[in-house]
Amino acid sequence: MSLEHIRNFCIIAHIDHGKSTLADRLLEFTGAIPPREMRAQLMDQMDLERERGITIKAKAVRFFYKAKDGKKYEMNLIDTPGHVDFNYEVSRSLKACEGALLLIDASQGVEAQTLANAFLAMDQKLSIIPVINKIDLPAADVNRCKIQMEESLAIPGEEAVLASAKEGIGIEEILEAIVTRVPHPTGEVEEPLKALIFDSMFDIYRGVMIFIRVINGSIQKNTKMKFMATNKIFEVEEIGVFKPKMEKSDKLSAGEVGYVAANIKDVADAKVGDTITDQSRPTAEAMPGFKDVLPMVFCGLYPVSTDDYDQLKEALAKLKLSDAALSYEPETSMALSFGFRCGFLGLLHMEIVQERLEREYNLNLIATAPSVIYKVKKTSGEEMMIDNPSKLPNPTLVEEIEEPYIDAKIIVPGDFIGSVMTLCQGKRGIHKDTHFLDTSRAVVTYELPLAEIVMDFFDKLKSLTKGYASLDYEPIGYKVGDIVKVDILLNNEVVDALSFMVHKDKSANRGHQIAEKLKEIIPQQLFEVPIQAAIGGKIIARETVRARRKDVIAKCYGGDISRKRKLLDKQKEGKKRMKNIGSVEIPQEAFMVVLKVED
Amino acid sequence: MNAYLHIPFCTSICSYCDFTSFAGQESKITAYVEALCIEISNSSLAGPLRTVYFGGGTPSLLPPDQLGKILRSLQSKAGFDPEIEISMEANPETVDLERLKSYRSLGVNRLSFGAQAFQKEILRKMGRGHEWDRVEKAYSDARQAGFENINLDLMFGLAEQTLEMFEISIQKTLSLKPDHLSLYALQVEEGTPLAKQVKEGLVLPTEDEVADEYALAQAALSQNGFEQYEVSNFAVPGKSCRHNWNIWRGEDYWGFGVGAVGTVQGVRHSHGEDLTEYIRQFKKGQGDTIQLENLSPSIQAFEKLMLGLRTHQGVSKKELEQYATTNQVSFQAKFDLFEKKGFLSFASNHYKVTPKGYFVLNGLLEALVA
Repeated sequence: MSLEHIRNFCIIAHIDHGKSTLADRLLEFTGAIPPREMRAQLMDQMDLERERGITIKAKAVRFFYKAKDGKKYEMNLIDTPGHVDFNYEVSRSLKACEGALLLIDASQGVEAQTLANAFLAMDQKLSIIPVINKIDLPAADVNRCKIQMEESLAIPGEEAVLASAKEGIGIEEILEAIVTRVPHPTGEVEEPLKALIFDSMFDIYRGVMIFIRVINGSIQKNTKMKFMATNKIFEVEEIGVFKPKMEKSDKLSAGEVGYVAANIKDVADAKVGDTITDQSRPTAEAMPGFKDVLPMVFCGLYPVSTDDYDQLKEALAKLKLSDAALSYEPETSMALSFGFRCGFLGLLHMEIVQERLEREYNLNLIATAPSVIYKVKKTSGEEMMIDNPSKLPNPTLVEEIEEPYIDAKIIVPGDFIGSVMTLCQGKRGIHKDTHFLDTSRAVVTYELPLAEIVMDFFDKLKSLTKGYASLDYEPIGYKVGDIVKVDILLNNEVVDALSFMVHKDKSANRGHQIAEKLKEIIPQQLFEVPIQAAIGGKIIARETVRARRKDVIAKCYGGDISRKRKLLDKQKEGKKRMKNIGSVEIPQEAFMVVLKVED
Repeated sequence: MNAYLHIPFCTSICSYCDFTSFAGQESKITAYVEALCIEISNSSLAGPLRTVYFGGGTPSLLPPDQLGKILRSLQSKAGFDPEIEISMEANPETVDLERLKSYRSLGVNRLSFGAQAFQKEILRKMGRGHEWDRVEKAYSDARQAGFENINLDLMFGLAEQTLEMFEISIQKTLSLKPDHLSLYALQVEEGTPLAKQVKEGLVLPTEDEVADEYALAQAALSQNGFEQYEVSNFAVPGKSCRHNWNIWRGEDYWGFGVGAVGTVQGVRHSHGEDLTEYIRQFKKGQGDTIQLENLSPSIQAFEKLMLGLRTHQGVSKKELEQYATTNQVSFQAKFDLFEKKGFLSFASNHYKVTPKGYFVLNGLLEALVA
């Protein structure tokens, strides 16, 4: 296919604005999949993704479209993740395209991720085709969407295609717009190979499969390809495209999109954003913009039963195969014994990984409170990065602590601006800007400590705004903060897994809340259990779980013995989900209380 | 050998009771006794019997001739040890001097009266068919009939029972000078009228109140020369119940009758709870309603420790260690702590639960569950 007849595009949207449904309709309309046989929302492959209505990993699908000009076009649809945690991956996917469908829900209007993704697409100089979706809904307000587009993105309203992916309205118009408005790819087939990795996945038969966009040259079976960032060399074993079923092909040439398998065992060798070239005839320069994605949120993951440690280890290794952004290393806790400190791109990523571990690998886990990475300057001048409160050096050795900040954009109906600002203020936010998108909605911009976001910010924001607010954020570096470590002591012993870092002004309140919650959660034991929150040696909160006065004082004659024995078995079984800290038995929920306190 | 016989007949059912018991079925007593005697004679019971225990239900609903039949059947099957203890549970309102004399002459030498409480409003609430004066009358009749070993049952943790009311029950009981006292904390068992009442809002004493009552009883009984030889049982020296004591020490015991349970050579047998079916089966000489439970060596060992720790004899450290090694249970650190906190005492290589420890016995025993 000549380059003039190829279109590479993606769909960008806020969560739930109908991206997957539109992708399905495009494939169905062009006959790539038969209408009735397909699974709903084909491009979201994992159940979990479908349930959450989000796409975790981008995939590329090729289909053909015979346009009104009578010509047949090769269309490569590159799907993109829709969440703030995966911004970098989105940007790499965009880099593989010339155009983007900017999907806006006619009843919801422009949302935070609409803006964030649109700006990313503009940065990449993509042609943007706005699509106002769900126009069939009673609550649809097309005019308002157009005004918001113009106000916030400077995209003229008349450029929008009106559609309902669900009802199949506007699908042909969208396809025509792609053909006429998105430029065809450019590139030289004769030049040395240069291709961008925009995604990868793990296949148990083929190893790591990478998704590439060929910029120049061509790649085929047996090409000895070199990954320019990692300097690794692999020989291509298989090349192909998804249509949407996987199909082998002979080669991929400049302008094309497809997958490559080369028996790559480690997903870390094939990093998203890296450039591939031909070892025997390398290109002079890699594609700009590659970076290693670094985890920003950490937590400890421990098996409830220590017997499951090996299973957890295996499960993490398997997940890591398809998720380069996940990091983990073994960690031990006095309270929870053996587990892993895991790093995630953000909160959603953390939730997804935890859920997959529990659901797909049948593991019963305890997760400690999420933590960010603090930059600790010691009095000796030495600098440390701390991702786990228990690693914080003795306070007397600490000169200062810096914490990561983000720039948060919150889009919210005008009525809620006040409550959002109160919330951000309470989270130690610094107000940067508020401006209206149209007469009813505004973008509120705050600088916020990331640590405050990982607590209960999302939930609070949602409930304060009745679910209307949307949020997008990006990291903006470190700032000095008055950060302290709070320890929780049970029966006078520090429970390391419950320690947390917090701003000093909030430490007393949070310490009290946690002590109170623990008092509710920890069942009465044979002995009194004192609960204390402390900063260094200073106790800031104190509660006590009274000793149990009596348990069942029952008779036990000949006829009662079996029953009594079984009762004790059951009693013990019920405690299997408890952790023993010294002589204190603690239910699992206790380790989650740190997550549930409110400012 | 020891034998337990279950007599499931009652004139009315108490609200808390979940034993196998039937009200208004007294017409079946003769047939039941017949079936019981067949079961005994067809069994492989081997004597001599050292203890026999009639539990219920209300064994004192048995006419003396029927009781005599059962005893003869036992004696001809297995023989009686000369020092045999024959215990019988009795409800105060079902006996008079004459009947008690008959029982005594048949060889019954230990009586256990369900007194439960002094206050009539509490007795009524529990569905008991007597008032306190009947307790006193039955007790004095029993003495007159020649019984030298008498137990009274009392309950605590009852609805509307205050600490003061319980104290009065104890004092009234002690003034009769019984040889033995069984003290039971009220348990709400599933399927009982009590469970329904609780569901409908009946308020029971709090955990603290119940604990206070138990503590009060321990103190009062100890002052009056009683020894707590088991969680629920107190006796003046030499008057503990030998039947129960033997079972707690791990001796075999046969159970006969519907609802009865026994354990012989590592196999526990029970009889189901269907009175009509029991009579039908055993009259034909069949024992299809008998259910067996094989007790593994580790279960037997555990039960022995569990029962041992319920008594003032305690368990030997050696036995504990043997069990712990075989079953990979680490108890030592916990037991050390229990000892430190005063729940256990350790002397002459024996662990014993202290009076304080009896309050939280289940918590202590949990340390031994594999």
